[in-house]
Amino acid sequence: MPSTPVDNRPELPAYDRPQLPAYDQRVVVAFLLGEAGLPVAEDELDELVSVFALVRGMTRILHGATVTEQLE
Amino acid sequence: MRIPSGVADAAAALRSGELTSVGLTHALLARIERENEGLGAVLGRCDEAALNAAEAADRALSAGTDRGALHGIPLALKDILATEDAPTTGGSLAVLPGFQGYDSAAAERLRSAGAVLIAKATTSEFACGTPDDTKPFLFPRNPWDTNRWAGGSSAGTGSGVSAGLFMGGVGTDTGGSIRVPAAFCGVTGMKPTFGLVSRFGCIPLSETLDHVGPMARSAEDCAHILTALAGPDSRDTGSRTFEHQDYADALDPDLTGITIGVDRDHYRLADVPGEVVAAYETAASELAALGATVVEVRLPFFSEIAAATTVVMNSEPLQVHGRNLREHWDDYGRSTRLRLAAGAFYSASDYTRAQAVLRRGRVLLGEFFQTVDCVVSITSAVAAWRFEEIGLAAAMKTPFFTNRWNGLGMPAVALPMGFSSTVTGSPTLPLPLSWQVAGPTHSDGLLLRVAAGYQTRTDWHSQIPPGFELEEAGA
Repeated sequence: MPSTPVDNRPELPAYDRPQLPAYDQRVVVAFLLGEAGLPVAEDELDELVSVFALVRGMTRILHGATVTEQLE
Repeated sequence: MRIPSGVADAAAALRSGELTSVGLTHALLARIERENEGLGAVLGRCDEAALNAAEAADRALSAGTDRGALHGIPLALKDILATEDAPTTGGSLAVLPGFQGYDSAAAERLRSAGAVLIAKATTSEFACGTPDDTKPFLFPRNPWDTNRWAGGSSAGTGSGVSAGLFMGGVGTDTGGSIRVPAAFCGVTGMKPTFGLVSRFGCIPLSETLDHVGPMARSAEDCAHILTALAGPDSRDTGSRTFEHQDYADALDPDLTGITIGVDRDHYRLADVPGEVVAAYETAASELAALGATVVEVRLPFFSEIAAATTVVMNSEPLQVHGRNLREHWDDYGRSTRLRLAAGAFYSASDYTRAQAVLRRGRVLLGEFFQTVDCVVSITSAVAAWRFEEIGLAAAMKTPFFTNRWNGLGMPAVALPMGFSSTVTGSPTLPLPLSWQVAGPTHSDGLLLRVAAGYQTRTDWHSQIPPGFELEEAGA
């Protein structure tokens, strides 16, 4: 038995992660509402696209670094 | 005749013989009849049942049976709480099934305490919409300026208490829906500890955030109502068993031995007008005069807990309303259906992360409350909005400092702290401003004690809106 632990884990390769293409928020919003079966009208969709931006901003706070350190 | 200022005043008047419950109920029904067209505080009346209950209360009192502070006192219930003697609309044409023809736990408990349920108070549609002129419901107007909103969602309870249409009432609070209308209308409102008051018979909005609680002119009146409302109920899966107490008995204006944290981060981080901050600092300075030890504090995870609560608050309602919304889209008001639809924008990952943040937040706040007994903050950075200022996006961005206490399940009392003389820099009618006292789970009695103590040194809570003076000719 060696007196000190031996780390035999392979070194992880550095990934060059590709950027996802920019998405069209209106298409995403329409998709999500459609999946939920909600009969949203065109003018309502316009308003919900701006709400969607607020919503995603809110969720980014949740996935932020500080709170993650406390949770994990 | 004189209309009492609230529950405790009316209770004393009934026992001194100055008033009877029947006389008071008649007077308040007449007041509602006269004022409601302009105020929109009441969605449904229960005249016959109320007068029968008042007559029974008078008979019992004469025979020596006294059920306590609410005996014979006319109160209102927000119209998302079921009552057997009046329809429950939720303020919507898209009525959800399952809430008609029986009493909610709140109604049962208030009747059992001898209260007279006089009216179903106006609610924002399903406790989340805003006034919609395409729907046949009166706008809930603010007695301090009827061009302005009474707040949401327990709008009618706040407006009616402020205008003296009933002696107190019950609202519900998912993110501030008791405390915001209390703030806008200049009354006192409490979101109790999660599970203390049963939600049986309450049209749900958010399973993990909904709370039922009292609204009245004073903290003392809220204490009387909460004493009647509190108690375990197996019909509500969120209900918890707590030791029963009389919250009014625990009121003591001497706050010696109590350590109160004053939070300033919230207003430094948000765009809070100077006069609101000044009113808050003046209010906080009164606490030391009551004997409390006052220290400045920083609440842990201020932004994260508020964001997590918002995610839960916007996600869960779609689960409640999804089917009804698909089938009755146009029956919902525009702001309601769009807000509910926005629940589709959150992922399972968002929701589970939000719940994890809230679980962690409860632990951190539990530790925080080892250092202070309770904490104070501003309730709302704004005074009551004009109707045209209300908007879905605006409401999502406006700094109400209320919702984190829903996510944490911890109690909070909102109470008046002064008046605004300007709104966005322009002179206006005096509009109420509010602060709140919040504390750890089970601290409901302590919070009411602090609030009531403050109200022994100030009279903001007893101000009556001009035009709604508490005198009735004849009656």
